[in-house]
Amino acid sequence: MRVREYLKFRARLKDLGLRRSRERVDTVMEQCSLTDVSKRIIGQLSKGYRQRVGLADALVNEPELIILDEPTIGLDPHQIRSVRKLIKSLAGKHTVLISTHILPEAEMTCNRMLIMFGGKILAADTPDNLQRLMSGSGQVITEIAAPLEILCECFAQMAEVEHYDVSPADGEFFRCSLAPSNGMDLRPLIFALAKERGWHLRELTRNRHSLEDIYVKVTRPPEEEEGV
Amino acid sequence: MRAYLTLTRHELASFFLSITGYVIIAGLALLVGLDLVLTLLNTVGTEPVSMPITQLFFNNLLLWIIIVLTAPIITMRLFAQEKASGTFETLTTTPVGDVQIVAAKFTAAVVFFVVMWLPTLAYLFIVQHFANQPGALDKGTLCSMYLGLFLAGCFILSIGCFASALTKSQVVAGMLTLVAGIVILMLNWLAQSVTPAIHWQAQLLSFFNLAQQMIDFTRGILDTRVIVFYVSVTFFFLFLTLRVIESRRWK
Repeated sequence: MRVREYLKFRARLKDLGLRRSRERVDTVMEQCSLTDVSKRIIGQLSKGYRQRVGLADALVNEPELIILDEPTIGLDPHQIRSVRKLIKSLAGKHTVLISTHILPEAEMTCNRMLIMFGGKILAADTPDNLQRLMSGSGQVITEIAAPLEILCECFAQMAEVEHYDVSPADGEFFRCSLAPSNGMDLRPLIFALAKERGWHLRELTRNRHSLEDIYVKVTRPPEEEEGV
Repeated sequence: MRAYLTLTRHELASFFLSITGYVIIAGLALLVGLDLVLTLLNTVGTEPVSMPITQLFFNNLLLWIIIVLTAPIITMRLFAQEKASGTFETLTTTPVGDVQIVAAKFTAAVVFFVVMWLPTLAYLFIVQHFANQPGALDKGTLCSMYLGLFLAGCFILSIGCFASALTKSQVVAGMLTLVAGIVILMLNWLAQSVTPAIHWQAQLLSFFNLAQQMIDFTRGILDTRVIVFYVSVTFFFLFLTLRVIESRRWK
């Protein structure tokens, strides 16, 4: 079957009237950038196109809820981007539920994430909240060029730093990771310290957890966590 | 209703927009034509016979074998192909009811069956042309013959539908239909061998005597018992098909 023919057939099956289905088919072909291949036979299209035909089929009757299983799997990076863009553009009009193993994708496209493991929902929140949940410790990484003893002394004297760890990096620089005592942001303090002492500061970041870390932490069985 | 029409059109398109349908039609036309030539040469010869052309047409078993052979070819892909290629899944996600799906597929098969037999009309008129007998081909017998063919076709096609719904494999579906068709033909012989008999078994078997019933049709005899039997068997197998289709939700 040809792309347009198929979409029209599906639209009619989904109980759209003749005129309405013609309109909708044109719209979804535009949305999924299928207009160029509208007269091609589906069986001869590439996987990316076929996947988008499936997506167009799902959209044709404007459902309230769209469920997509691994929408970008098997696509090349360009196609992945365009599918992501399409999914984002659906937000607002439709509720889109995506199931995926590609965690960065979920992070990029979703407003709300559920982590499922072994058939149970273990976490459900916005990506930002999940981040916060994880990085409650607010660990800060910094690279400073300073004499080692003075640096350690300074960190030890700061009440806000609960725990610090210094290891030599290249040249005069030391790589330090600091954990705050009460969850506050240490970065301004470190900057103030370096400025006051005239030390060179070349990196200062708050350690963000990747979704992968969050996933692993959430899904790890409790007994194993105790062992670690 | 709209979905039913759309689906039927879609099914018919898959016959007529590809070479499949035309191969089947051409094959049948050839076989029936050869069969008619053989019948004319062997059973009629040069002696005049006193039977309507329609009866002459069905006066041999080869034609039945052709009917029984073509039915599975029409029906085997109906459900099995869609199940194998995964499109059945997407079909069932649409708001189309199971009844509509089964009805549309069966309708398409029957419509194709009718279209497939249309060219054979020409054969009857050709024979009549050479028969020197204006009464040899009568409108009434012609209609009743095609009615009989239509009903027998529904009968076998409904079995084919059922077989196709049972499996993913077209080969299995085709074979099941073929076996069922040939078993029915055999019952037919069995029915002939136990007559005359008054036992209920013989009476029951006589319902499956398709060939004899067809001879009646070709002579213009419409037996309501037979018509009711064909129609009810057709509906019974369509009902079973529907159940099979529904059974995916029984888990």
